[in-house]
Amino acid sequence: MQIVLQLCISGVSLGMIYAVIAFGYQLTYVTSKTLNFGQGEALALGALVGLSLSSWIGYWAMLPMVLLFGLAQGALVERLGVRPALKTRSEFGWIMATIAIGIIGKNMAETIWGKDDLKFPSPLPETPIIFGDGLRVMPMEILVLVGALAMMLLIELLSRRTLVGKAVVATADDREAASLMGINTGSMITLSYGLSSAVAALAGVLVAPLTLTGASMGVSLALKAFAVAIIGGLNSGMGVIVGGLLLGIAEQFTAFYLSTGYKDVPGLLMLLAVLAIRPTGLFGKTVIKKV
Amino acid sequence: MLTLTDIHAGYGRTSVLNGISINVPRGQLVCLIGSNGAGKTTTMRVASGMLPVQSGRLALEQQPLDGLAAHHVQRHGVSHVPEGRRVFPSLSVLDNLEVGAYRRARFGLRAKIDDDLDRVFGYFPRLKERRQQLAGTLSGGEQQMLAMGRALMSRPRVLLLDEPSMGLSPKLVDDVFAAICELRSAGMTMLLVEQFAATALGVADYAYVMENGRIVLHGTAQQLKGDPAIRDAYLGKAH
Repeated sequence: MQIVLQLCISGVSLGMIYAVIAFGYQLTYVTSKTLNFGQGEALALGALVGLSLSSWIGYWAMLPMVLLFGLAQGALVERLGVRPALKTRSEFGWIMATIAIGIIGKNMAETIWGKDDLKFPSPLPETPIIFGDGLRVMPMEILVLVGALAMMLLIELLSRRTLVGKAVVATADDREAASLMGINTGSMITLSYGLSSAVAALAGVLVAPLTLTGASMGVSLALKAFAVAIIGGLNSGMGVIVGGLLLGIAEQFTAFYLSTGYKDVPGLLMLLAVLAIRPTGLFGKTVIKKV
Repeated sequence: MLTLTDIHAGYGRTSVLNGISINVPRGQLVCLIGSNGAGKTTTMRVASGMLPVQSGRLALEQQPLDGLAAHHVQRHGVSHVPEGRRVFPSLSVLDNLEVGAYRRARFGLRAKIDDDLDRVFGYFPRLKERRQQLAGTLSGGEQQMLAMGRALMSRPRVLLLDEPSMGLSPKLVDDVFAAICELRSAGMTMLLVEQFAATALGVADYAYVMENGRIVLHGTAQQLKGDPAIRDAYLGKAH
């Protein structure tokens, strides 16, 4: 029983990382029906910038700076890669463009920080807290959980309580009607890209002390988060949390009871099952599009 | 006040409007009638900047508006209530109205928005009762009231109303037209597209008749109501 709990706890913090990256995918998808396929690179860039900044101004002061960096990086991706494709009504141009910008980002990161993985110093003690009779929880795992939840909650609150947030929701609901309200819907899409990358960058600095830090650290995370976004539904905030936790926990169990070699299998099986049975995702709403 | 001069517009290579000219004088209610596919909705889309003109001029008083994006046209005072209402389903009624005043609310004129809310609730008391409800859960009639209220929140100089009665029960159609009449007495300048030609001519000052992307006839509502060709084509023999 205790081992089951232990695996769940590790699964939860990993799952929240998937969830928060998947949440980032949703942000751009709802406003523009496009995704940033360079999300993994945005995550790695965030972690690397965070690593450099934290040795200079300290871990906690670095966090808001990394969010700002993510905002700017995401806005740049939108301006360079997505907007031209949307403007020419290119159906798939944005896919190649966001992948390309991701690769450029990765190469730049390799030039600046090198190709070797770096160690991100943990801001919290690296000795596990023992609960009950031997349940071990790393303080960093708690920070991941709290940080990811706080970020999602903050964005949710901003979109419900502020006028600009409501304008983003209006853009997501009906882009044309939003422009009739005097809303510059292009800027709202830029903003959603900025927020999406800020979320990824934060996920990067949160996960970095638990893994290694390097230009390629985001690739598999972003891919699995993409699966989570599909599993949970591209328009359901609850869906990505449940999907992320399911995947995170399933991976831990597979790694422990089968083999670490099969760790990636449950996620892909879940993805295939969801696509076969509920293509809109576990919590996704079917959108009826009137033409 | 709002003038469209020799407008050509269309979608891709298909041209829909072949040189139409419409003038909406200040304080008047002008209506646009014609059969399905005549280009009425396209005309409205051009007037609010949703669809760029291929040639021709669009102006509000002396201010040229052609070539501007929809959100810039709106800022000059043209407010468009689109066909099919298109309220924001995942925002509450109150948030829909607030977003309608987006530009003014952004620039710190929040206090004045409360006055506008009161004014809109005055026209549509139903919206006040439902203000916390999500717009997606409103009935068709309530959504139409919300779409009109939302457009009024920006304090438009010209209101474009595209098929406000579409899909509504006769009782609700009467309610919507009562609100239009009230707006008219308050001096609002309006361009109205309406399938119920008789009802529209009953409240309008001036009317244009469209066929195949052209204006085929125009005159005061009184003149058109008496025109036998109009009676046969659009008003039904019974009228």
